[in-house]
Amino acid sequence: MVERFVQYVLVGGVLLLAGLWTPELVPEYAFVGYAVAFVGALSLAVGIERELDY
Amino acid sequence: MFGVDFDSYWLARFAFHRLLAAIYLVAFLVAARQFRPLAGENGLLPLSDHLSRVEFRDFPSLFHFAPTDRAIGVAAWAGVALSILALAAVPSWVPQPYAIPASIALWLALWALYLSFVNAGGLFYGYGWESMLCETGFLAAFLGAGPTAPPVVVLLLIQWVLFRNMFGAGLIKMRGDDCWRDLTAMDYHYETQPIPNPVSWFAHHLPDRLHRVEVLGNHVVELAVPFLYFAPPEWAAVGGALTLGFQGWLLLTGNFAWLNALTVVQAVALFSDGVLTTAFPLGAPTPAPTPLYLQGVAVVLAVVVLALSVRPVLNMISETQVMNTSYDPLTLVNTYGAFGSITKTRHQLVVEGTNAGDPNEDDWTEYEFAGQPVRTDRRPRQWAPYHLRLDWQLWFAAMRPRPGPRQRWIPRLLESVLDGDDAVLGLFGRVPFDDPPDRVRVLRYRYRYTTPEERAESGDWWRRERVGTYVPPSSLTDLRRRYRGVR
Repeated sequence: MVERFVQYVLVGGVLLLAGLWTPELVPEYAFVGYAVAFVGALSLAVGIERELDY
Repeated sequence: MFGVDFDSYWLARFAFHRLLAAIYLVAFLVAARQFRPLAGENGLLPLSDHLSRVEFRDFPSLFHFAPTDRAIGVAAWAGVALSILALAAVPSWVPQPYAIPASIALWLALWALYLSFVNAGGLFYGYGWESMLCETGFLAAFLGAGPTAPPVVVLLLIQWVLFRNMFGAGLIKMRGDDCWRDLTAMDYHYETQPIPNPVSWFAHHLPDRLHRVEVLGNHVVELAVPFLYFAPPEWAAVGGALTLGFQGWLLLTGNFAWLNALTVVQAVALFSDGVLTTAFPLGAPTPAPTPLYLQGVAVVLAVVVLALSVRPVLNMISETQVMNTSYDPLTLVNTYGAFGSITKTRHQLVVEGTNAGDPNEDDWTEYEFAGQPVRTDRRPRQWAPYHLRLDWQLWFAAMRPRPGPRQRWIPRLLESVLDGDDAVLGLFGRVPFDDPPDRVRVLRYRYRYTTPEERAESGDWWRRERVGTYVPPSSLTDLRRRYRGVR
């Protein structure tokens, strides 16, 4: 079973990539792409933060 | 985004090939200087012992056919010569259409030679940056040369190595010591790292709050930033710049052989000509199209790499992730990840010799190592990217109160000291005896950095406290009797 924080990080990374490529590939949906990238970055941050214990 | 052409990576290949050649040059110089005393015919861990335990098909090496010091010397110096040819980009001098075949031949020769050392070096070549150099060096063979554009597929494969390098290191830290999760890892790292450098003392004394930010930054750069490597070129360059900054800090504050320098080389592949010529006053030629046969080779290479990536990826996402492992004998696709564990206290071994018949404590004289601290008043030196293989093993050995099974080389080291073996003594920083002493011993100390106040007062960089005797006073006869069954 893949740990929960890895799931967050992997999903976040894929969303970030999809979001950043969208304006290159489909310029008319650039805004949607940046929104998806933001969600991806958020998921990466949550994935990292939930493992921290400080 | 910036309105520039991102399609070409000619400048990236130009820099990548030369920087990688410089690392190969260092690696072969290290082999020429250190392989024979460490792992040669009569090395601390003899070559024949290692080769008799492994099969060629599992650990391919030219030294299976010529397990001699002469062959080791020839291979090491041939590697040095080929590295210089690569550094000078000699294949690009060859007329078209032979530049690319010449480049493939040169880089594959470097790879085969270095793989021979890695697969024959045993314990002394068991570091992640050895297999990483093999993997990166193999890919370098298929980047092309001269005025043609490098195949983008091969650049993607280099970015894939970089991703596994960085992301693997990020995951293993989150799964490793608590100090990575409570953000205190940097409270210990600069003091307990294998071989500190001149800046390490100062980095250790940075404010605690900054140490917390450093660890958090480490997690972001190793776990989040690697995804940017596969983003559109301008975002990939952002990821590359963050990675270069991170590696630059590691280069500045420690001696990690060529690990950081090699990561920098991999990160160079993230910068397209468009980004580089926009950011810097550089000119880039408009390269000719990549020849069809090289594109075909690159696609085949990509299929092989993807197939061989399954096990490293499964390892990476597994809770029981292992660090620095090769899954194929040619070390084409490996798993990486270092420093999941951080030692909280620094232990040091100190070798001492004496000629006194009944020595008291004042009769013992210390040998000095090149990288491991011995004298408390000596500032740590800069060695990286040069690799002090004996010093790294001494760091591992000092974690135990006595020599363990992985320290079979320690009795041989002490025998060589008592024999006055010049090749082995050449691995030390300073040898205090003109003629070999009658007896040696190894003491175990706990070292810590001086505080700024202590250093201002005494000029010392370290404080130390003896915590045990690692090897008791021993003559040659004592060593051979005591460790007869160990070797």
